[in-house]
Amino acid sequence: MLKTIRHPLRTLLLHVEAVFDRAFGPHWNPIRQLGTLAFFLFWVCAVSGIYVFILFETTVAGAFASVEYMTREQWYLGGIMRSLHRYSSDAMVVVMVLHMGREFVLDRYRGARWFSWLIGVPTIWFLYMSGISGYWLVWDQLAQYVAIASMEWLDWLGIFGEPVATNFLTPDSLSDRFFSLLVFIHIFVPLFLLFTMWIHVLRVTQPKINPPRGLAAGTLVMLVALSLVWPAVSHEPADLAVVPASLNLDWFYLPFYLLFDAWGGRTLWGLAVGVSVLLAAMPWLPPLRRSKAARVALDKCNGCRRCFADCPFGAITMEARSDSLPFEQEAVVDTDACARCGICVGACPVSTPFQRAGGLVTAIDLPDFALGHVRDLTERGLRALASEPADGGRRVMVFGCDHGARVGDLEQSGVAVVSLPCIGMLPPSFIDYALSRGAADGVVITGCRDGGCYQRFGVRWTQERLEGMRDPYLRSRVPRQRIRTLWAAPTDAAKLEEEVQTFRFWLRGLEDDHSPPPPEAALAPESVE
Amino acid sequence: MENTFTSVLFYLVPILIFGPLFFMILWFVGLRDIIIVPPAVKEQRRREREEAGKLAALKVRKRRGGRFTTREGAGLSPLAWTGQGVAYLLFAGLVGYLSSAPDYLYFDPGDALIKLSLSHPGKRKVACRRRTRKELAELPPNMRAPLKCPRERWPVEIELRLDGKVLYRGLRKPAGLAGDGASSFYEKFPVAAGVHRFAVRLGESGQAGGSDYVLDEEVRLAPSQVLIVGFRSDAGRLFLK
Ligand code: HEM
Ligand code: SF4
Ligand code: SF4
Repeated sequence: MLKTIRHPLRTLLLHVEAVFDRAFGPHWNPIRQLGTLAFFLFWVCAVSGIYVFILFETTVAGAFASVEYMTREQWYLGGIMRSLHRYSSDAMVVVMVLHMGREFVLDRYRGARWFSWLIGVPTIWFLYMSGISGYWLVWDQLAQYVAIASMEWLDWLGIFGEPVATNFLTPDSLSDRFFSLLVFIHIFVPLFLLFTMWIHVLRVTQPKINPPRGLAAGTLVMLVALSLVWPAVSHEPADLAVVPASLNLDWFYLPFYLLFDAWGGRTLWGLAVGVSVLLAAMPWLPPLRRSKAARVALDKCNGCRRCFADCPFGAITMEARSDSLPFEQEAVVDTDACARCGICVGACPVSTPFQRAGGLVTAIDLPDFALGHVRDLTERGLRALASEPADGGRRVMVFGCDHGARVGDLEQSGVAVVSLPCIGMLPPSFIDYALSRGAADGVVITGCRDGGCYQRFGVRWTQERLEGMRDPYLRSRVPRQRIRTLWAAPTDAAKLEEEVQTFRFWLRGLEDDHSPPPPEAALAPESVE
Repeated sequence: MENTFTSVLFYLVPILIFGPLFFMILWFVGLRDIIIVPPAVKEQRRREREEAGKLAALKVRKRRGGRFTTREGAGLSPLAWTGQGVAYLLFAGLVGYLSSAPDYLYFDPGDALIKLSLSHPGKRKVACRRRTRKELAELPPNMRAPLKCPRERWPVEIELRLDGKVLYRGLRKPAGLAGDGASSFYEKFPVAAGVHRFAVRLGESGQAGGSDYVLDEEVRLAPSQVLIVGFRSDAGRLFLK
């Protein structure tokens, strides 16, 4: 069921992402920076908020006038700050919803990622409480409406002896003291928000918190321009003796008030709590995929720490040796944090296909998709390549990943494929292995699109390993021109196929004459970040 | 200016005092375990930093070698920059527009709003009575109050009639676990503006249809006006305002 929703959404997302890639380039692409953008917008909101607060008067009688002063008299600074404060907080809702949607659509919220997802839920609450409480402070008609409705909503719980909404009955029932309490809420809740945002990324290894400078600058310029062109303004001043008739709602923060007016407190509470619980439970809802976590074969492990350095989920720790081998440390896997990506397998120096036939045993392996199995698949592919393809192109072995463009469809005469949980699982020695056996003339390495690696760092580490910047290196004897890295999302399948075919005939040219320079591949054969 | 200063202080001082206190409590309750970065991760970060330097040096060398080029620094085409501009424009348009539009017609401007809002304790279920000498003797000396007052109260009933028709009738239990608090009403009724006759009755002694307090009044309601139906406890009467 979930798959049928997710699949078309993922296709859409990847197409949109590709369009943005063209305008922003892969590094500035906002679709891949939604989390970092939310952080950036928070800072914009915090700085403008501090300025606005300096000019703000925390009394019932003075609040409205002080906001008017900012907007009209001091439009060039106070007005801009007020608008920035409003628009950055609105943008934060958009960006947060998209960020959450993207993690959902790309299926990045289960398993090792449950922590970030779960903390995301109170983050939504705090963001909304921050935004809504901000609207109270202007003390215009909108504030009056929002404040009264909020209190009525709280009163539904019946936990206050006397309804809180009675504070807003008549102009003289609202005291400065109560108003100050509202201001307090608007200062403290954003602090909690920041706190949960921090916890949210606490367990992410090497999280990206700040957007790239170009994107941050663009966003800030956009917000300032918007503030100048379309400054935020107030409604008429609040008057508790009069019901405001027509309201210019902020549709990012306040649409729930419509539902409150239409359905009442009980339904809205049910909805809010129900949706939150459902969201919070999502990482554990079926379909559960329970493959086994990576496992260390202690007698093979020499404690070199490479798996530890490469694990994108911080699932490996190096601990004191528990056996009698003469090494200082050993790798230990935290099964709860392990995402079963296999990147550690690709990092381990023991992972080489050049081992005695029979069981291939490496020091760290995925029990349900062992490296020995990968070698068997490779062998099978090489056997299939043994016969000359009829079309005259050369023979290519493709190593791909389950989350990038599907490589299964590429299989045909002259092309053999192996798909891994992540391309980062492939030890570079497998490339050497495939080429040195003489059955393949070239090797294609493919995985998620630039910057969009499902397992976070699989593409990046692969690139660095091939470039000789990261262990384990690809041996220097391997002819580099016979390797192509083509990063492709599931929606890029046709393109990938085209590139593979081009490569096959280019390889033939390599043998025919004295190697022209390699063609510029269209699928970005380059490093990420 | 003095006002600004005091109001800043007003928030700063409690934040400075209670902030750390609150944080410490959270810390010891369990925050510590969440936050303290495992030594393994710390170690990894240190290593990453170390490697970053080495990598940067290597990168420069490799790039000169030019096998795997990177797109970093490769310029974007003018068309791409235009595309960015359009994307920012659309986003700004969306945020700017939806932040205050479309309008929401919350309340019909031809109507007025009646808010029934009152809090009134019902009568005690059992009236106070004098304790007998014997009862007093049985109590500990510091509790020998001469009056015995069971605290439980009757629920309060209110009926609001508008132009002869019942607009609202409700019974509310007293607040508090012991059932000794006030009964609270908070209801809203939009009605057409104009002249209306209000008849309100409040029963506090537990009989259905009781009318310990009544009010009968004609009022002209202006459009959008809020009219409160309440109870003034000092004067002991219902009021319209
Ligand atoms: C103000 C709100 C939020 C901010 C500032 C924020 C920020 C971030 C950042 C910076 C990352 C790390 C990106 C990386 O380096 O890979 C991240 C990851 C993530 N976020 Fe959020 N986020 C917010 C709200 C949410 C919400 C509401 C949810 C879902 C309920 C959510 C779910 C996730 C998930 C599942 C990850 C992936 C973690 C991983 O890949 O290990 N976030 N977020
Ligand atoms: S498979 Fe290996 S690299 Fe991947 S999360 Fe598990 S321990 Fe880490
Ligand atoms: S990479 Fe392999 S040998 Fe090195 S510590 Fe990890 S499991 Fe052990």
